[in-house]
Amino acid sequence: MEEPSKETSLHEKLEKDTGINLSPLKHWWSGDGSMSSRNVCKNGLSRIIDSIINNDESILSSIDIWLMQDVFCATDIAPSETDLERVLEWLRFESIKRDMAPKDNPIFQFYNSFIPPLDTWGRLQPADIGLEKIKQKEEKKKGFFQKLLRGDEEEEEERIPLREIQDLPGFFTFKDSLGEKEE
Amino acid sequence: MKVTLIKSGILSSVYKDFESSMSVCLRQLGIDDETIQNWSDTGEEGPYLTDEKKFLGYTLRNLCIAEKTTRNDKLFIADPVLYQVYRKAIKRLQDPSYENIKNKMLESLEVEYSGRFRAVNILHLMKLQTGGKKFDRLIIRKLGNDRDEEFDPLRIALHTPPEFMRPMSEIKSDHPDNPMIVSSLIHKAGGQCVNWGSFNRWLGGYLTIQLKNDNSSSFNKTTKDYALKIIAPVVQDAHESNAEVIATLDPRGLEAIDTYQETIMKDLGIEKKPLPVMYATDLINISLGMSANRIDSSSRKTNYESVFKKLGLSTS
Repeated sequence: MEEPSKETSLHEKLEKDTGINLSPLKHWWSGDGSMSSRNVCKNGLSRIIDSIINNDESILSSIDIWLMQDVFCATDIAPSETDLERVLEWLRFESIKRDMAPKDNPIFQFYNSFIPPLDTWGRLQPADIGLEKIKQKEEKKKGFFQKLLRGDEEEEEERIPLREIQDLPGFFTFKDSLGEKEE
Repeated sequence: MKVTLIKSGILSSVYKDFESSMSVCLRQLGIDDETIQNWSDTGEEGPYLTDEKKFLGYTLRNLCIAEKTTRNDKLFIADPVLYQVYRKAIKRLQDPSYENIKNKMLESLEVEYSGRFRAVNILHLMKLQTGGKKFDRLIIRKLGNDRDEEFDPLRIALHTPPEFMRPMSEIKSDHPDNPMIVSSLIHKAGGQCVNWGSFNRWLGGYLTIQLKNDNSSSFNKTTKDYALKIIAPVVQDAHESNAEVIATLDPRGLEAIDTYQETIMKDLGIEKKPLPVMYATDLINISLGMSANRIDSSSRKTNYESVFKKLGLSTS
């Protein structure tokens, strides 16, 4: 049986994934009351920072509305070298990756169900974002617009851009510049 | 000046009034908006909230389309949530640690991405276009009652979405703790921005929306719970400030305040008439000469009659 790999702490994982080290904020947020007007932000931000530094994984399953609001409001308070927005996003994605996101929250379920799985999405295929091995490219390359805007259906030999695209300012210049390149 | 406008599905379907208010305001300020008509609405909010790879994939694809179809370098995003989404995507795509995944995506899309765009919001554009006396010369109508001997300004609880300002070091639009851009325009137009505590409060973004589907009751119940918590202090602050109208640039926030204001007032024991909630751009548009007929408040729980009456505007 394979031995489970040594688990890394939340803080180590954060640093590995984003390069952000929260240690300098530990004492800064220890609650000396020096920023009384910002107390509204204290709970959420302190809780996140403390939980990550102390490897308290319960934070991953408790990203609630107040936490998000507080941290969002606090993004200007932390020293400028600490990207708190990034920390919050990392926490959210980490929570999803570990399947620890709150399951009984219909909002979360809704947004999860909002996006069809990539393989049925039609226009952007799994390979497009590196989820699967990129399929052998067809000999005849499909044009940018066909691939992006019309989907993967078989195109006519002579492809005519969509009417709307033709009408857009800059289209023909773009087309001309392609022509020149080809020559 | 010309900007490329991201027109998401939610703006063009659910918040049509917001879209038109923004467009009119841009035109009044001398900004042409170029819409990408073949914009594929991917519902970027979903991936943004749930899957980083998809979030990058969807936004990159749309940014590529935008780059190919316009020469502008300013990508104007009217909606606060979408502004956040694209600002972060653009930032990620500039980050060397995302270079590999970005290149992989571009390779399979068979397209180049130069990273030309800078995401801008309405505050950036207002700051650019209304400096000095530029805006003063455009004002046609005062925001207040000037029919009596003494001018009585319209008292406005002005809200600026924090998504347009925070983090300040990065966005550089307005000061999140003392936003001045919209309030200075309102002030120039004769309106009075009252002092109130919720001037920069987060209004919940995607968490307060109501779905119209029949089977959305559990979703709507949760968003209602969130909205009541988030919006309660806003309603309380607005009524305490003696404002006559709440004005914001956040379409979801506007809807949430309008929808839940009466319930919150009842809970808090506020015995006053509910306040109308308008887009701040509508007030600016009025001062620049737009007719009240073009502002439709029929879908609002609290209509705008009291505001129009004070300004002496006819809607017939």
